[in-house]
Amino acid sequence: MAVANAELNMRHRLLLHFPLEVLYRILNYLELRDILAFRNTCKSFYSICQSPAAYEHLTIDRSINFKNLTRKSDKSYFANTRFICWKGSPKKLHNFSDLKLQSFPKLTSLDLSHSPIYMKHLCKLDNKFGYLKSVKLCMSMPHGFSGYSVGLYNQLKLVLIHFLSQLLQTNTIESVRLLFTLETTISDISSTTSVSDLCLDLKRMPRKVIIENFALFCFKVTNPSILYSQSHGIEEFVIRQSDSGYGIFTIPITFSLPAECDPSPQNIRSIYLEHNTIPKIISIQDMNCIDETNFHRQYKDLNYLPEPFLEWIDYGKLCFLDLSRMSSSVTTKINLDLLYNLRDLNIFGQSSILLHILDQVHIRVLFPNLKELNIGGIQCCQLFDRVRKQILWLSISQLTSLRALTLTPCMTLLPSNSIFKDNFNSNAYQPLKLRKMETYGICVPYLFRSCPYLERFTVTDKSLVRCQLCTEEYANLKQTRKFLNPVSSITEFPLTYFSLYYKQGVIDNFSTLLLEEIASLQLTNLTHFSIQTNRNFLSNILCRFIHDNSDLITLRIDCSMHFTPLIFKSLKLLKYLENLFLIGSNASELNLLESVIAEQPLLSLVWLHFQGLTAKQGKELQTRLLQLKQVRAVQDDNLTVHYGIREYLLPDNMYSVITGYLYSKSGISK
Amino acid sequence: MTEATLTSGQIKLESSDGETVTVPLNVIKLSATIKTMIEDLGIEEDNDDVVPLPNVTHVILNKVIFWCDHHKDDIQPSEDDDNKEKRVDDIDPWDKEFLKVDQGTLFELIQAANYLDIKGLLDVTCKTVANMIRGKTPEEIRKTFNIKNDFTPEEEEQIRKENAWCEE
Repeated sequence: MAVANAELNMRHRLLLHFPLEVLYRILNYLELRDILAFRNTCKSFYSICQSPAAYEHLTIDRSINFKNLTRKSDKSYFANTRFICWKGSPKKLHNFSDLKLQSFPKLTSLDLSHSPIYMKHLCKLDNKFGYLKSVKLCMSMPHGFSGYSVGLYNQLKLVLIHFLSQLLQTNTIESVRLLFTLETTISDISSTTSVSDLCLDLKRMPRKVIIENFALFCFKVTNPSILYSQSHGIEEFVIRQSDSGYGIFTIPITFSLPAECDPSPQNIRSIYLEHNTIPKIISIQDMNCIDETNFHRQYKDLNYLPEPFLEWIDYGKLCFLDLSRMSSSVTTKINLDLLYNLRDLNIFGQSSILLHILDQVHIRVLFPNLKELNIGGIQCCQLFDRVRKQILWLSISQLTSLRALTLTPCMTLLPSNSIFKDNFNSNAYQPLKLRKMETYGICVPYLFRSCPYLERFTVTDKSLVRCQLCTEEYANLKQTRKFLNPVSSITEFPLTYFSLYYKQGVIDNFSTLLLEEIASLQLTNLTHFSIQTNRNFLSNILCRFIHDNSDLITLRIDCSMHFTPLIFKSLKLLKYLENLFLIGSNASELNLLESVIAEQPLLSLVWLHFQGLTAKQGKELQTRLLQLKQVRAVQDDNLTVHYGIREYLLPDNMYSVITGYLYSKSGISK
Repeated sequence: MTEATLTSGQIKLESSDGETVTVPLNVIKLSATIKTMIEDLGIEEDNDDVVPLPNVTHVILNKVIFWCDHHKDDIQPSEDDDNKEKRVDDIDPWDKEFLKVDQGTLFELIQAANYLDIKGLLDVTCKTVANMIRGKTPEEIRKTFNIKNDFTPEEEEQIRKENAWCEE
């Protein structure tokens, strides 16, 4: 008996005295449930399993039991990444029911999507997230699963709250992002959930909190000092509700501070209340102390803020104003005269405001510091007569500090021939000697000369209606081309970014014209160029442009027809090219593209977009892509990253568009 | 082991209990530790140099050599294999039979494999122990390995709460 006992003791001693790496190796073969059982046998094993070293050794790469995975794409994805990014809906969770989660080797970012089971496991692991800095939680509630989803929702919310509570104890966490995709109706959710269920008791706040689409959420701050502390206070708090067709509804976000707390958190620099979000209880004192630099952000969507908010705004401090989605009942209450500090103005579609500005005063007088301007919209254009266009254009040209201009749609806002004729005959514009410029295209170099700091010019034309007119004027241009000799004393233009978009298939004479004009300028600083074209005849001009601007870093060409070999040849001239986007690519061009990649040492990203493929062509294309040695990654339309070519296990008709990174030197970047 | 056909050089190993065993180099090459020792210490094959193994008894050493002899022609697992999916149901039938030993021997084999750095043997022995743990409750694991439960009732209750999340 004594001998037997001695032997048993020895066995025990042996197991306990195994080198840790051997123990970890054994644990690595176990599923979570078994690890927990092993951990709970005695104190020694408990502490071994709890130690940070244990989490170092157990790897998350093995966290998926592949037996039940049916999609090969999932397998390859999980096999190659240390991020957990779950793509799928809760419907498929049963496929993953025997997940085993082991640990996180130096995980700095955790992306959990639709994975309550994962979260459950994470909870069990007692928040040993030694390196975790940011967490993204995405959960989706599928439509049509009302009975199931309500139950699941309740389960999710409990898991989520528990998980967050644990997670926020982790000192390294800097950012938490919650994304709740509610595909069911809000009433379903609210009828089964009370706010208190979702109350997160925060003892510690991460610096950045983003909550998206979370129907009901309540923050209860038990320790108010977290809002003041320099080292731990929130710096950015975003509550965002996407436009999901529910209309406007109130989200009872409740900041619940203790009564004795002075509600003036010093560190919150930004509170974004975007889209349909309305805070139920939030004191105005909190708002007033927000740092001026980000002050404007909270009012991005004034439309949805309750009226008192409009009175609380200190317009003199406002530097960003987006009026594009506001109703006139709100915009009329805004005192434009006080917006003298405005730097960024978006009045797209706000015809009445634009007319007010133009009819009463010049833009420059109202907004002397304006650096970014976005104007346009069909409503505006319909109201624009010849005189107003002239005023508008002159107003813009006087915004001498303007750095970015977006015109949408451009054609109807740009001045017509006669405006230039009349205007440039005046003495004020004599030095520019532009009086004979007689087409729309002329406005662009004119603009560059008028606004010497303009760095970004975007022309977006989605609904061109004057195609015919432009075509005629293009013909005229051919005749008047001889007058288009830029004679300004300015020889170098600061433009660094240029993009031109309009509805495909409508017009390309304008782009041709514009491209010619751009090409004629010495844009020595141009690094990012993007143009849309649907005609092959552009290729010669484009090639010349590329030749003249060989310092381009980013080039994007949208083309509904395939690219000519000449373009690929000219791409090799771009000695600093890092990013290349070819939209409307053709599989037959892959060889040409391959040779470009081979000769571009700095090229780190090639984005291709194939359109109009049949299922057969789609499959052939995938096969072809797989054969390219440069292929590193392909990204699908949902921005879910996959290593290697993703196997498109989609219905045949989904092959019509394949979008992907063909080549990414630096791994995956979203 | 000494009866094994010797097609290459041999080396002498001395166990912790003083026994000397001669083993073909192509067999013991599976041990990264011995391979390194030979290289670092400049031990030449077929001479009288003896490599001491203070952590391995002759009984275990003979079993290790027996295992190595059987697996000497296997493709050696690479470092990348550590990143592969961990399975426990793929133990070779020969290994299964070989590891039908008492727990003490199994644990000593693990320690020897770890000391001698024989990856294949370490894998298969660890898998065997993992299989002994799989599907068992903490109490059953204690019984299997004769582990004394040193938790207080309060601590056990706390653990039970922690594990509530695990229950589906």
